[in-house]
Amino acid sequence: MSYKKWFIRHLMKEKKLFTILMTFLIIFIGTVSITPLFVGDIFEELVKQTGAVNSFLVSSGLSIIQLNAPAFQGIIATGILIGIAGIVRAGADFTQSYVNEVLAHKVTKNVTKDFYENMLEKSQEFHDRVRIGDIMSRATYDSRQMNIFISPGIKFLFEASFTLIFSVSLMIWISPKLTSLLLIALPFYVIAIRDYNKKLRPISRAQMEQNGLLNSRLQESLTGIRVIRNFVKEEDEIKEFDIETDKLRDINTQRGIIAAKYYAVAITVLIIALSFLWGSYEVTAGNLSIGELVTYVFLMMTLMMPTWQFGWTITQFQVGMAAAKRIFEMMEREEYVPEPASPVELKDVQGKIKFDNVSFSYTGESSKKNSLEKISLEVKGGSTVAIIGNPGSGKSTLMKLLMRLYDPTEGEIFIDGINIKDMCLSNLREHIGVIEQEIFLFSKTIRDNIAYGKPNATLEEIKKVAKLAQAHEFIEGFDKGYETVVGERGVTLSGGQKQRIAIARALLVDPSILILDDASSAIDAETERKIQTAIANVLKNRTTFIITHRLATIKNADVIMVLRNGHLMDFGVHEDLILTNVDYRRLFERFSELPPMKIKEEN
Amino acid sequence: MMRNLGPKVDYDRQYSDIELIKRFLRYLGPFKTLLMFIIIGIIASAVVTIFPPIMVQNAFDLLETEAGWLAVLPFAIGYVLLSLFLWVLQVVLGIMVTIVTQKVIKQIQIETYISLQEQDLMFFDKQATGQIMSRVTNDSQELSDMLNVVTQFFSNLLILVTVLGWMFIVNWRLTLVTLIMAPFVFLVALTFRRITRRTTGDWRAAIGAVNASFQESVSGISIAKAFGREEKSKEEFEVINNDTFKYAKKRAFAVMGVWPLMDGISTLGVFGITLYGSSLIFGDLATASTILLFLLLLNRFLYPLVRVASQFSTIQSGFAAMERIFSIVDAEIKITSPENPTIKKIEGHISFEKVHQEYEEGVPVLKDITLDIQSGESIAVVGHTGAGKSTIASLLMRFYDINKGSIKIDDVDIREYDLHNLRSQIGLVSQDVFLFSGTVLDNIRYGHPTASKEEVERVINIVAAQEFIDALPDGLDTELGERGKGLSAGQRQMISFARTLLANPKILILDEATAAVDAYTEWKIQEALDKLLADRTSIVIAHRLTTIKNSDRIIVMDQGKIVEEGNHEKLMKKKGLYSELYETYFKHQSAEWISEISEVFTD
Repeated sequence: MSYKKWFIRHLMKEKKLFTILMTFLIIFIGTVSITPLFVGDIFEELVKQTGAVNSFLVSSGLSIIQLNAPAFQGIIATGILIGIAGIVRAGADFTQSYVNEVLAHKVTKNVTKDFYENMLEKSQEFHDRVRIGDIMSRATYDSRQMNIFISPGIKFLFEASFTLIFSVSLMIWISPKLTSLLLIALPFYVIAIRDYNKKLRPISRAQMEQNGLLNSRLQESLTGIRVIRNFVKEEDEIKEFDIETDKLRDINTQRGIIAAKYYAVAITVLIIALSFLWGSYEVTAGNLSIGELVTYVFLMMTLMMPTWQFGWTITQFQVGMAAAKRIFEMMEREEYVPEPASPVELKDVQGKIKFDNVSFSYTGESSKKNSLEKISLEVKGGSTVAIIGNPGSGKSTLMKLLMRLYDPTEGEIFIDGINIKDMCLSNLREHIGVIEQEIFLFSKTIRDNIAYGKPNATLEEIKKVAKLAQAHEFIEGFDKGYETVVGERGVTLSGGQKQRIAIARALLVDPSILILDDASSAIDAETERKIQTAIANVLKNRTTFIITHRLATIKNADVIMVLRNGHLMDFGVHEDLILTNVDYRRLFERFSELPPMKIKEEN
Repeated sequence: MMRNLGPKVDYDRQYSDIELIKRFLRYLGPFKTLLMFIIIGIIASAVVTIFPPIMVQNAFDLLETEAGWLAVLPFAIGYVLLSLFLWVLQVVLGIMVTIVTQKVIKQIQIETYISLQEQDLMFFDKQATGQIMSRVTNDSQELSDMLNVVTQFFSNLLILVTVLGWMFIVNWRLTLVTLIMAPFVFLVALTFRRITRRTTGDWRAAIGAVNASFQESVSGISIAKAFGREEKSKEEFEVINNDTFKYAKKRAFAVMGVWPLMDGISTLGVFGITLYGSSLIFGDLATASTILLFLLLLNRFLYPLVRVASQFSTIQSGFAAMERIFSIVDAEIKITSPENPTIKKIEGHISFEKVHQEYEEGVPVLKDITLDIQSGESIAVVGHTGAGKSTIASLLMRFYDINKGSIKIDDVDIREYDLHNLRSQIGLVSQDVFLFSGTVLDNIRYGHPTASKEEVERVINIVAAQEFIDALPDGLDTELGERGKGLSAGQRQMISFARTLLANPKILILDEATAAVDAYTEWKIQEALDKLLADRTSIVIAHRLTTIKNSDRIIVMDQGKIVEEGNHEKLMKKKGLYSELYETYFKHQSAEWISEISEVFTD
């Protein structure tokens, strides 16, 4: 499907609105085009009457009213017709404009909804690669541009086309001869519009891109202000910003110049003027009445608006379609993690996990380096597995595979003997809990954050898990307790506090399998003890994978995996590894070499 | 002028309209010639505007008397030429206005940006990035809209006056009839403006909510996935999204209502002019051509009138935008280089003399700190959270100015140094890492863009980052997402560390620089650092025992004061705060703790 089809499908979904829009548009244009006819009629009468009045006044000097009453009545009747047409026109205009606007917002709403849902369904890999700013600019700026194209774009487009058809038909009816002028002008007119379109397109796109670029630059330099200060890079940053704003200025200026030079307007003006020139000749030649000429010129003037509207619509059409394309492209980009056709349901989980020859490399990247290389391992249900390794050794990646945030490039993963690819994603993830390395809390209350995975949890349940996570105490310390809002608009929590809330959040869901990516370093022994206690509470009754620096946790794990650059170097229990694995041994050795430790040992 | 100011911040100030205009005129200064042409152009087009209808009127008069085409010809040709002239004038005006507008906007944007780059850190501490962003982008856009409108506003006003004057000259009776509409037009315009403003406000707020919700969902996507919350999120989003639609509909009603209403009023005008005009003709007080002229002028009168009313509000919001932007440009910067700054290569002798600091009044962070650090010395600062350790680093960098006392480097007060000179010789590696989008190499080279490959490799080796960088898909050339997305916290810290080392500062401040790095890697970094730190002054704020013990001197801080100093052995013997801290803070990094805490796991 192309983005054009996608856009039109969204538009066509609102058939009812569309029909109303079209109906009132036609009424509107009909009344607009008919008014010059009435005006012309009146003039016909007036000219006749002034002539009559003049000669009459000369001859008799008597009361005029009586004599011309029927003519005046005719004028009044036509005048009333103009009035009625005006009111109908205003009413129709309002209805069509309003409906058009509603249509635009409805389509925008649906597109935003689609886009949002699509973004939620996108794989983690997608979100790792794509900037939030990029997604947001499509969700906000681009969808707004689409909106503007629909309203008043569509209205303008049809208004302009219909007005053209109506007015031109009337003109042909009045004077086919004069209308031939239009025919001559038509090719120039088309060329003018096409030319405009062609010139504007690259500029529109460049403008949009430059705008996006400038925004993300600005955002980055504002959030990274400390680093800029730190390295005294202010001048470089300003220089770069200067270059970028210059580019934007040039683009905007070019665009303004192209828009100003839209010469279709000049062609219309010229045609109106020429018809007047020629028309006056026709009148003197007796081929055309004055009233007809007036009507004709007024009709020509109704063409000014469509000319302008065409120009505007084309501009906005380009921007709108470019925006639609950007939104659509992002939605279409890349695969989802595929769901099985007939999923196997995972229930009464034992938590037995098997990695079978699992390899993984991030796709879409130039090198073929594997982040994980042929990992095979079986884990008994309910056990605690500690994963250690240098940064970049693939610890987190392995866990992402288990959650099916990515699929392995090779090999399979089984839970209780079922291949995770055969399960529904939601079914799989409902049994796996995760406490991430970087804790993300939503700008909501603490209570909402803990209840994130189980929104209908009671306060008692929440308090219970908060206590287990050693978070209850500090939460109660806040003025508003569990109703305290965290994040940008609320209190700032320390890393340790965030982590304990995340632990509570995971505990509430009570998953059979838990992944704990623990990168925090403890501040003091008291906090450390609390975190350790919280972790210990978490480990009970489930299979847990834990990535941590905490030696105590590692030491007490049932199995320890030692990863290095994507390879599983070793696995086993502490007592064995300390004797067999150099890397592992070094981890603990370091501490036994420390003087305080030695002193204690010597004592 | 009443202005809608949006969210208030403390640096916001009120400017009088005169001040704003004066200030703005300064930006126009460089474009005097262009401006003069623009003004001439506006006046010319306003005056010329009334001539084409006059030509038509005259031609019509002649046609009526059947004077022959040759008599009509000059007027008809005049009409053609004048119309074309007007168009050319519009094009030239449009181009000139675009050029000036874009240049001015760019100038204002860059000035705002420069002011932001120089702004005190306190400024950024106090407000959200989004707010500042919107001033640079949205407000300057609003300003640019205003600029475009201002010229139109004046030209419309001028046209209005000319047209009106001409109408009075031609026929004052008919002019009065036409003028009856003016108050209605104005009233309608004003009423709708008020409604529009209110409904637009609601709508904007609703859009803001949609954006915020969207942004948060995307930022927290991995959590949503992990907890299988997608469905719930979709439901929540749908509610907000639908709300926006509702507000958009309300706004559409107001926004779309105004034009049809104006159109209706103008129809009444046509109606009135024709009827009253006809009766005048019968009384011989007007000619048919006069009525035609009035009908032609009606558009040129009503249209500017409506525009003037609506443009007034655009100008108003442009003024408000100007005020918001100038508030940023003018926000007082407290921390600047002195008039005759000291610029020199520093040795690294640091002395704090009775330094007292409070960010908020009455809440001292540092109290009476006196500390002398010899050049080349390595000191460790330890203490509870909130003891004021990080403040020492921020003050030394002169991110904030101290309230009392003085900080000297090489016996010169840091306030006497050139700010850039000072900061470029101090390197700060903080716990809170900010990386820029770009490659890993770009990031490492941030402070020293011309560094050779060897130099880069050297620092990479020091921070033990070679291994994980090799594992990245494109090694050093791997593109990082915003804020270094795609790397773990530990990896980001290592890159940030390398970045600072490459800049080769004389004074190095490590504020928990390796907190997120695993213990083994940290130990490797520590070993490599020892050599590197030999010839420079270093201040290490750390919670890791190994780091602290390697320093020449340990400073123990408590509640903003220095309470103890000396080396590890000496301080341990003293049995003061340090030994207490050791028991609670650092012991958990020793093997003894590991077995102690292990009890938690074996309950």
